[in-house]
Amino acid sequence: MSSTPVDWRDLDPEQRLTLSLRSPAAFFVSGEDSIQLSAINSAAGVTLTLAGRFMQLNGEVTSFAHVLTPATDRTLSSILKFMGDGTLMNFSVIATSGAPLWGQCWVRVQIVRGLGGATMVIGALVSGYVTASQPVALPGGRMRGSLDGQGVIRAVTGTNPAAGANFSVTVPTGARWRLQSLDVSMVTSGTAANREMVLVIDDGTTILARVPQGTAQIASLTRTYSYYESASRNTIAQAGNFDAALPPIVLLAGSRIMSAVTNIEVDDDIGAPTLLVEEWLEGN
Amino acid sequence: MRIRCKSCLGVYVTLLPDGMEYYHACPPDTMVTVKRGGAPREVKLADVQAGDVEVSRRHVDRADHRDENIVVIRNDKGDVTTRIKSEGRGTEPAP
Repeated sequence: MSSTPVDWRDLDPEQRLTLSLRSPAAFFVSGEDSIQLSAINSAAGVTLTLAGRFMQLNGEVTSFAHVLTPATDRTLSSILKFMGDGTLMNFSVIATSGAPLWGQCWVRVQIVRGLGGATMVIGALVSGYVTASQPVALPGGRMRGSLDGQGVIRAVTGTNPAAGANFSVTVPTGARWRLQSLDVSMVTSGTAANREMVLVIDDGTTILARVPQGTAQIASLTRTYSYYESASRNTIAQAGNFDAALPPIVLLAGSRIMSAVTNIEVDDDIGAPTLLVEEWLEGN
Repeated sequence: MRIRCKSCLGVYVTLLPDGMEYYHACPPDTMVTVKRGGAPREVKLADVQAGDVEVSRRHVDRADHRDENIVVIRNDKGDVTTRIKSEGRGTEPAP
């Protein structure tokens, strides 16, 4: 081959095709194949754009861009787009609207045989979390699962229970949580009784862990209970606060984090719990 | 917007400050099996008396409990629809 610089625009289609066959892009597709972008997302206001370049059989390179607005409830959303005959040269997926954090929006790009009716996945190209500045892309990308790496760190304020009721927070469908800390207050009524805060974690049915405070809260007191991994349990309130340790525990969807206060009275008032969790998308 | 669950009377917001949705689920009732006077019996947690010997606990959903977490339903084409797990008695704006 000549060392003379070649201007792509000066070549005829046959010469372009010859050169294109030397392209590192490995994804030659026929007119029966489509490209599918799927996403699992928990952030509000996200729009994803799949954009790239495609070389037709005549050697002409065209660009494409497809947009997906994923659901926010951690379910799978997808678009399927026709590509034509030629070579998929490169593409990237990035959030073009919204501000998803790492761990909130997981995407996957596949080649699918067919566009409607019976379809079949014939190639998985790339997957991973995206943000507004961190894309997944080919060439260079790889398949990363939604449970790989760090999740998103988020504060969750639970339901403020009615008087006399315990609090309960459920891990949402499609999420996996690592509980890092929990803070909740309890105001006891004037009714004489020794209440004891007990933190209970179950999988929706079976109790996995119980963290009893070990100290009674008598009538007419306000106390705050803080749980975190490195805490040591104190049995005398410090400035109205009790600490206790959390087990290092990862919880699947449907698991519950709740209180089970011994001797709770009808006018006792437990506040809304605040949790710090690391969350991953299950990717089911 | 603050919402009150008409099943458990808990108050919550459906959209948290970080922009993520919050799905309320009513707290369960805690039932405790105790030995009282040597005989086992199951009572509500609030009804445990001094002198009871606790044997075990279990959590039971209250009648008409509400659970806003979703159930994912797929048809044979792979299309996804969702519904909440349990309506309970519904919700109302919190005062």
